[in-house]
Amino acid sequence: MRSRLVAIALLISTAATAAGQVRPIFDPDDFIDPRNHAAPLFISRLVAGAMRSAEDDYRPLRQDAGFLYLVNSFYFRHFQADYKHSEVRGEQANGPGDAQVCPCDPPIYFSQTGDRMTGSKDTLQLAGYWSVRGDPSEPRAMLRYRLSISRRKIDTDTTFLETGHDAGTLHGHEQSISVDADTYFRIAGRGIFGTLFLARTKSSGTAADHSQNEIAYVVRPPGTAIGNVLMRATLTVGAVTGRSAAGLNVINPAFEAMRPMPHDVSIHLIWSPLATRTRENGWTTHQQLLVSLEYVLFAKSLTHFRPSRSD
Amino acid sequence: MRRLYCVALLIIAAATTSGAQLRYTRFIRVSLRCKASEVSIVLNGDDREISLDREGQYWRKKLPSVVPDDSVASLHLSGHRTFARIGDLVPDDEINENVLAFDFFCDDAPAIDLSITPTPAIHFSYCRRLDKDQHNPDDSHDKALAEGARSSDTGMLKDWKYRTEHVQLLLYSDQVKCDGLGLPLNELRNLPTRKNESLLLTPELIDKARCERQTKAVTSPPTLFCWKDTEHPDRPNVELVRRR
Repeated sequence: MRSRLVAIALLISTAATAAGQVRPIFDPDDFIDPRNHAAPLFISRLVAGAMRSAEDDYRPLRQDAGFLYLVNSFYFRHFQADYKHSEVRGEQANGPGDAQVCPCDPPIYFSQTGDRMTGSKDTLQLAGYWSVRGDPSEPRAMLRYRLSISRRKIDTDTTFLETGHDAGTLHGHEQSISVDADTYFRIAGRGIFGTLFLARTKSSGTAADHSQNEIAYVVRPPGTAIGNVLMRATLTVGAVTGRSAAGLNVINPAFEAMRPMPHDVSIHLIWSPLATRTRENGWTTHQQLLVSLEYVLFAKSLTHFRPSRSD
Repeated sequence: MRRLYCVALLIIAAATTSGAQLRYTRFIRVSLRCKASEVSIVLNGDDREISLDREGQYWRKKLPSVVPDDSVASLHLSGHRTFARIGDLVPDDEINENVLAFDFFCDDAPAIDLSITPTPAIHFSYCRRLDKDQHNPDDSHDKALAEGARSSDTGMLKDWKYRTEHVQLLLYSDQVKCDGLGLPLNELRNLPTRKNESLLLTPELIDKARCERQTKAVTSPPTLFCWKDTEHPDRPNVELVRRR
């Protein structure tokens, strides 16, 4: 029975395909049910924190890292638009990366940077909310469907292969486009929420251009409150193509606790054990821990633009 | 060609007759399978209850306006509340009229009255949902009765089965919107347990209750995001007092 369950889990994980982690671990929740606001709403937040054994896009950075994250969200009726900017700095190594280049035409680059470099990223998101029938004794269940486009600069300092002389800096970038869609099922009378992620990531102008696709499903069971602490767990199962020979399979549970504090501040703690599998290396696990402070810089209801009631 | 016309007519006739035709009456008749001194009925979700008169084995009322035969009702029994039922339009020989007849079982679960007073006074409404009658699995009515009322100062939630009956309190709402998100009263901690006990809901407590509900993933994915209501700068305290 147990082996059958493992087989089913593996089947799901291998059936899944792709990834450009558009949603980093420090990205805070920004879901606001449209039924909670009649007027347009603008919220700007700043998140600062540190990651132990940080990872990026399912790649361990092999170092700890700190980050600053600015989140601007605008909510209007059943729509949401976001602009997000992140700055991640590693404890030991940061961009630009290094590469060597042969004095040939076209030039061939040999990246000297094994691990992924930290840096900044900009993300634009557009989302729509749609309700479906939920618990019969409750209002309808609200789901969100979102398109995200993100871009990060990747600079690489290059030197010539034989002489080691400076060969200039490559100004490349990596772009991701992704869709995430909330899902809702009822099993044995209980509602189960989840989110399906599809993403494509492509880099160009770097020393080692690559592209990858990602598919992942996040199971989102109900959270709970203990005193003033809100807690929840998620389980991500997915796969990424363009990693190693046969892609990468991912199983990533995460446990998050949040405590609201006075003065619009909240503290977040996330433990995220990541298990990845490649054909070459089999399963490997990686423990990531995050502590962050979230501060609401600005929250304003634009009541002048409240839609007129149609009664 | 004539055959085609005939087929078309048949299809139209079948389509028009297959739709259920609503019938109406202004006479209500209730048979109740337990003893009660006062009975009032809530019809089709309008929480303005209508008191019924005892006439022999039935409780009756002649309404000021007609109601359709698919009407849903529940009873207030002063301290108890029935489940929701759907009526049957049947002829009544005693009054020589068609009556909308309801047959109610009683529910032993205690029900309380709760007064709701926001300070400063604001518009508010509530929506309560009663389950269908579990004693009657063959009951064709498969949906809870959603009902609501609105108020601008103090409202009274009567005969509330507070352990089981879902009630959403919608502050600032001058319309009864059962599809809206409100404060779920039955999930509040420290609800008054005795007569005249009260619970004061401050804006902070209301925010906290909303955050906890978001985390529990009832009507949306579980979300750890607590944002303050900036739409209403003068947010009221809401006092809940148990009256029975």
